[in-house]
Amino acid sequence: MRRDRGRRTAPVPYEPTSPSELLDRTRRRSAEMRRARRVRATGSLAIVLAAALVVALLPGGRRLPSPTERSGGPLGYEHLAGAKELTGDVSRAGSAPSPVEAAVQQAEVSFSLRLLDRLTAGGGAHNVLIAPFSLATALAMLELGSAGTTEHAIARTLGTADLSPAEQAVGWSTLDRRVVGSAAGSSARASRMPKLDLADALWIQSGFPVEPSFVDALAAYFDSGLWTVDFAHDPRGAAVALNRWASRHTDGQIRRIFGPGGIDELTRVVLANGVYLRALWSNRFSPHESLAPFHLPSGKVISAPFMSRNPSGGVVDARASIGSRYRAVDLPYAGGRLSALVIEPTGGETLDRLVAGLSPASLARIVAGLHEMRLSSLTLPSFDLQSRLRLDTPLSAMGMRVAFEAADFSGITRRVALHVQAVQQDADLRVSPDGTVGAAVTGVSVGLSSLPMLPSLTFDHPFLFVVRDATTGAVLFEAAVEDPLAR
Amino acid sequence: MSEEDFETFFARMLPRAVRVGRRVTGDPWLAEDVAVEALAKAHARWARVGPLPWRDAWLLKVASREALRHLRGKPGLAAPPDRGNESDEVVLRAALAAALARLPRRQREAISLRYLCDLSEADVAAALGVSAGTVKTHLHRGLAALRRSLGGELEGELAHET
Repeated sequence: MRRDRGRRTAPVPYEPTSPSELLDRTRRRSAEMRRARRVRATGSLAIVLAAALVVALLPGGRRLPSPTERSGGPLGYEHLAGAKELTGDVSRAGSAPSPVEAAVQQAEVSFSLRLLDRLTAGGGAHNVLIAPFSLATALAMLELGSAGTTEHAIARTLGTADLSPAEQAVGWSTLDRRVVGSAAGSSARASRMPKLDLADALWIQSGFPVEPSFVDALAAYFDSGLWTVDFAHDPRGAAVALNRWASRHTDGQIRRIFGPGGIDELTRVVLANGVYLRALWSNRFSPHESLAPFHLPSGKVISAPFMSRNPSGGVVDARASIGSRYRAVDLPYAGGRLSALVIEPTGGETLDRLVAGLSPASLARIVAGLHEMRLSSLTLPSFDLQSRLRLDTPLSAMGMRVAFEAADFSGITRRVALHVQAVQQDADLRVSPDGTVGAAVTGVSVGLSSLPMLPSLTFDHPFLFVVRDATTGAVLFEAAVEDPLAR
Repeated sequence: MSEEDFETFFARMLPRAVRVGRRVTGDPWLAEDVAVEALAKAHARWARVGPLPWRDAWLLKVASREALRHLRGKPGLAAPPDRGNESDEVVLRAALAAALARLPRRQREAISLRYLCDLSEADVAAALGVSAGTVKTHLHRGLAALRRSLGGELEGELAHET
């Protein structure tokens, strides 16, 4: 709210802020107030949530050269003034019954594991990085605009088909708030607290007839920002606006939502979720990393940077378990609510088989099997992964193929047929001796199923050519053309 | 009560809320913050606030309360006003805010609405849900208490145009 204009030391001439900017500020502040009210209303039940499930099949993943499309001009979007306030729905969203919340929490974990299984299937020496929560949130937003078999397919993919659409929306929005709330704690050392931001946004083709109920529901359940852009005439400009948003909500970590083909002039709606996490370890690792051997699935041994916790001559206390099939440790971040769970298969088991066997129940058993252990040292690689995933294929395989084809998005608009053009996610995860920085942006583009099929007309056979007066019908010339080359 | 209604309300009330903020704090930037805070409270509760017949007064009451809160809680933010003897005026504003804070709630609200927000006594009565006579009583008693606290400077301050 407050602007630092150095007015104590060097008075700056006052220039009134424009009413439109103050209106924007008012709306943003109002959204903060409503969010705070809902969090207060639901209390702060503790939840156990694996905030980031990390699979590093090999360390040392390389950061790709960062795109440099950050330009300096004004943002290419405008606020859609027609956004509606839905106070009634907001309060309803805040009083969700707990069985619904539990079902959605369970579904999120299950979804994350099934998705990971899809992405790791086949094994091989490649890393997989995915932000399941971001993807699930974007799909839950999409589901609000779907109907019939499409709605059911998305719900089935997310694992929430037993709940009504309204219950699902309430469940996801509550989980969203709880996860954000989990980053805040009661530690006096606030500067060490994790920073976890989630943001949702909806972009609409300017002038496109979106159902108001869709916009209302997104605002009520997901506090979704709303923008209009011109995909039809300026898809590149729209992409710049989307990318700006992504960068802004991930502290510059993610600078692109869609790659080539993700949005085009047929795109009418884009749904996006951004997540940004910066968390310090509750107990830091030694700042000195050292190279040590890491064993690839192929049997090859490489030299990778490792970080370790082994105070000279001392011991390390950790919640861990060392079994015959896997070794695991839970590494809490400062604040105590978020942690990283590291699991390494042992006894000849491969990581993709371990992942294939994971379910919410088995993951819960692994967590339950952790116990306070005194270790001589704790060592794991530091790593830096970046992924750019096109998720159409795995999501189709998981049950929502219909959304990409003959979809029913009558919740978004009843005027034209729409389908999902692309689901993409860019993610970035850095694990260092200090902590973890992770960012991800998921984008779902929804577009016209096709331009209307216009018949083409080619006269390439003998034809009759008649010049006539349209009013009287009088025929002025007649030609029967058998061979257009002959005279 | 639609978003469109709110925008109309916003356009009408923004200048008045800023004026209240500026009158209380003496700081044009802070006055904008005060106005945004008050209008955001209205926006967040628009389904309830929108239909109120005295919603204008409701907003001004919230704005004056926000402004006084700023002045009491963060005296440094109230400086510097853009004219007059700065240090004297800052002291006077802080003293006024402190004196207002010591008044009973109804007297404080009546004085804020009548003198800081320029509402008529009838509008103040509607906003507070009391009779015009009761408003007169609150104003009379409140002003008397302020005079005792602040002496003669009060009259000039309340009549002050920004």
